[in-house]
Amino acid sequence: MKAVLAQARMELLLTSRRGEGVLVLIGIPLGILLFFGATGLFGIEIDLLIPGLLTLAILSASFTSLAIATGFERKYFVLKRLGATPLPRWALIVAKALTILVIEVAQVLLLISVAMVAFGWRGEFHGFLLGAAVVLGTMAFAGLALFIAGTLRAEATLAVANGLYLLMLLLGDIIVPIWVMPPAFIVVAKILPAAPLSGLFRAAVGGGPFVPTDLAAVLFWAVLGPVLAAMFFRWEEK
Amino acid sequence: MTPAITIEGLTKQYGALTAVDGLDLTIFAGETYALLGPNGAGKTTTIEILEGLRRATSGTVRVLGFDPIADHRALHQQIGVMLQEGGIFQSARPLEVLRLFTAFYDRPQDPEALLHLVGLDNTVGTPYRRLSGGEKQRLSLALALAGTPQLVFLDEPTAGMDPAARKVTWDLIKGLQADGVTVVLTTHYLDEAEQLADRVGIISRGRLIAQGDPADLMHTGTRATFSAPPGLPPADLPGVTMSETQPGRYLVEADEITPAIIADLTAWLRDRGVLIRDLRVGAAGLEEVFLELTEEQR
Repeated sequence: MKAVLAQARMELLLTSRRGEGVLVLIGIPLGILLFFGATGLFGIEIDLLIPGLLTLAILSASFTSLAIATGFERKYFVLKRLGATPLPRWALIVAKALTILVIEVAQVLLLISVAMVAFGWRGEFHGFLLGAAVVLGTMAFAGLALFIAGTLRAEATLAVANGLYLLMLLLGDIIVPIWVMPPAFIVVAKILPAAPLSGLFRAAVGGGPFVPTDLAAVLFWAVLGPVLAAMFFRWEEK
Repeated sequence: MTPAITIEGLTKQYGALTAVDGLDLTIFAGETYALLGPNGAGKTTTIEILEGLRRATSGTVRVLGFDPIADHRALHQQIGVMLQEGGIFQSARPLEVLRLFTAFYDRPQDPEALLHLVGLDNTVGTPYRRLSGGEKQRLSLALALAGTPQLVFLDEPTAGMDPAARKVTWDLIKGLQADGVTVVLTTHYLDEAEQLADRVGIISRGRLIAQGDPADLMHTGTRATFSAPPGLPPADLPGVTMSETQPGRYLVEADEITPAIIADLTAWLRDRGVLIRDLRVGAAGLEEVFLELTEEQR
């Protein structure tokens, strides 16, 4: 337990030192909230925006940030070196999961409190659904992140993680509602995990309807992602 | 003597490539064993199998009585590892990394004492990626000591170090020897093996081709070498052949180099007014033994 906590502390410390990481984790979601909240452009309302920004927060913490950090830890033999200590692999994974949850709780609290304080937003909270959406979304994205980071070179992981981040930002029902998109884009959006997760968050905090197919899609990725990671993750670049 | 490491019939294949080819080796508790060999000889693969980082294709290995894969955690409480390169978070500072690693062990060293031991007190605020090559190596060595190990694996511990940093590292390794720690090291530097090792094993193409204490390996009683001005004629001494192996470097061979032969040789040189330097009976160093043995393998 001491080892897991020490590892999680190190992960948090290093995350806080990655400037571009902090920008993606906090700066971008908060910036989007403040911009659209202050300008009211395109008729985007906080009620619609907040659930999407929660998806963006989960995406940045459990996908982009995790994939890039893990990819470079692998490149620089950090994972290999940790494998030559008494720290078991499961403990490393638990430490990373703890780190992500701490970051996500901070992101969710920050976004919701800014929306409430600055823009007078009042959500309709369903605590259980909110918790389930955070956990399942994290499993889906983190699984994919480790699958990518454990199979590609670090530089390729960096490119793919940023590319998918942008794709999911646009197609994830985050800023642009998917129902305004052409049908082909809607299909792609519904296949990726981000838009269904936004649907879950809309039901969890935004007073939206609970859509069972959204839950099914997120569950599907929450199983597939970790399975892919477990099957294909390699601890060293070849 | 108690074996610390036993390797029997170890083979490791990567596809069609055989990196380790039926290796048998025993390393005893408390000794310092140096594995020498050219790049790609199988040194690192062997060490990484002993550390449980790779699986053997066949054969058995035991380290302190443990199976490195099945007993991974128990084994790693007892040993310390220094990888050939990297292994440390790029933006972490030395003391932070030491604090992390000491938290993994049941019998941890004090992180600040370790930092001091390897002479990195002045790097407290410096992230790993900004350390010099030698500083990185010394931090890596300190991490190998984090859990008060009985046995350490050091993979090229002084690669890329300047002479002063090498001296510090050698002194640290000598300190471990004095504490009874078993040291297994790989190196390209033959003087390092001569300085530190009780026994040396020479590996080529995944096989152990020679083993012994450095002095024994160097002692071949049929030859002597010396330096003198270039262009000497071959000495016409009975039972002795002399050749100039490179300008100013001479090799003397006989059935056995005896004190009488050395006396004859120096007399012959005196008669020609030649002053010799570097007279050495046996191989000139491990380097010569090494090159000769690995040459035979080609």
